[in-house]
Amino acid sequence: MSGRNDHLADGDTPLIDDIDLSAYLDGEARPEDRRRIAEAIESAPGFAHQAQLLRDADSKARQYGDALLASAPPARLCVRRMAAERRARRVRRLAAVGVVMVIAFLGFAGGWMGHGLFHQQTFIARSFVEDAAAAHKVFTAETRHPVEVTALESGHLTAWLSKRLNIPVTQADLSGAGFKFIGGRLLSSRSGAPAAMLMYQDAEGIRATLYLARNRGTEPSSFRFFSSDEGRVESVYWFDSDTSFGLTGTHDRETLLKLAKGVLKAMDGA
Amino acid sequence: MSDFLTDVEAAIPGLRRYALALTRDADAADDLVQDCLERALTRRRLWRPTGTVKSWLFTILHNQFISDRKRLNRRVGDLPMDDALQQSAPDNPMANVALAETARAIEALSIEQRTTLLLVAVEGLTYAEAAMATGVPVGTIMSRLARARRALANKMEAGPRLARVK
Repeated sequence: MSGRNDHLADGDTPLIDDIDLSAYLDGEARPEDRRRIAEAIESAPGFAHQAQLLRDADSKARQYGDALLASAPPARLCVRRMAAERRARRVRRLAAVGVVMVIAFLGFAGGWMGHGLFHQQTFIARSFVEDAAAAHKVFTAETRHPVEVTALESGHLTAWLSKRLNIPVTQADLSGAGFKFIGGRLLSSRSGAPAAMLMYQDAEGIRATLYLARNRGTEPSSFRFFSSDEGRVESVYWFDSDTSFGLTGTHDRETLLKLAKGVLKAMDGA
Repeated sequence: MSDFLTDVEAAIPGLRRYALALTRDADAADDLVQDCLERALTRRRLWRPTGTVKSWLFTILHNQFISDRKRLNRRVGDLPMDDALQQSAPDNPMANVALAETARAIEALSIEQRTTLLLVAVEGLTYAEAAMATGVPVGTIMSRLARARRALANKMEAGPRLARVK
């Protein structure tokens, strides 16, 4: 198949082919070809006939196309409904993304706040036990005035401290563990709130102190240890809902733990 | 934005007609048009009004058809295009003899000639738009179109009569 169906005209008539004719009919002939094609059609009736045949082919094609399209478009080709469904899907998807983002944010914020809370808790507990240890070191070194109020006035002492600290302060009897109560004092603390110290000593005159303050927001906990002065001083500390306790001494942890348990027992009994 | 939908709606009959001519199966044609519309809506934001919505849609439909055909060919083996099409029973709505004759003539064209003829002569795309839709140069559109018209004209001239002996 040559593809080019050339229409040779008589004499000096220019040569044109189906491509020329076809494009000319569509108004799509190249500008430089237009004049040549128009002249050819005019000069030879054969070209006009050919042009008419090609045009007829188009109308046949249109008839064919119309006949093909016999049925109305089905509902599934309703582009407006498709667009609406697509929008609805997008809204649902956005909502889902939004929910996920909110959950993620809450999780993150919760985690952050929890982290902050945890941090804050640790910080407060740590400050407390450091205060307890510091007080222990300062006042157990005193030989003449280790306490403000002696054991002789223990009733007055505990009443006074309970009032100032606004928590029940009892004088635990630790004689079972070999410790004798010698008295106590009122102290200030790092937070600015009042604190109290009760002092005990064993048979050898080695002192242990119980440091008390009102618990300001630390979660109740079981016994924890804290070492200071390169391990020479040990503290056992714990919290209940009202009171923060710090028991400090230069004794071993086992002894301090025994004392702590004695204090706890006295508190429960109070 | 609703102008866009209006333009798309206006193009649907032409798209269906073209899809029918390509697939010669009513359901397959409407599947093709539906895919084309979905794709158009997905790419709506990508469309820039450099041409008409209509010619853009024909481009999408054509590409969809080509890729479907490749998939089909992979599935049924390496059938040539026209053989693959013949497998679906032609849903011939041509009622009268003359139309049936026309249909036969058009369906006898190569797929390239047939699609070009339909895009330009029936759907009214410009050469440039048809070239864009089918992914070929304008020169190719010109020659395919001329051949398609000539083949059809020759068939019509011969008509239902016996072929002329030259």
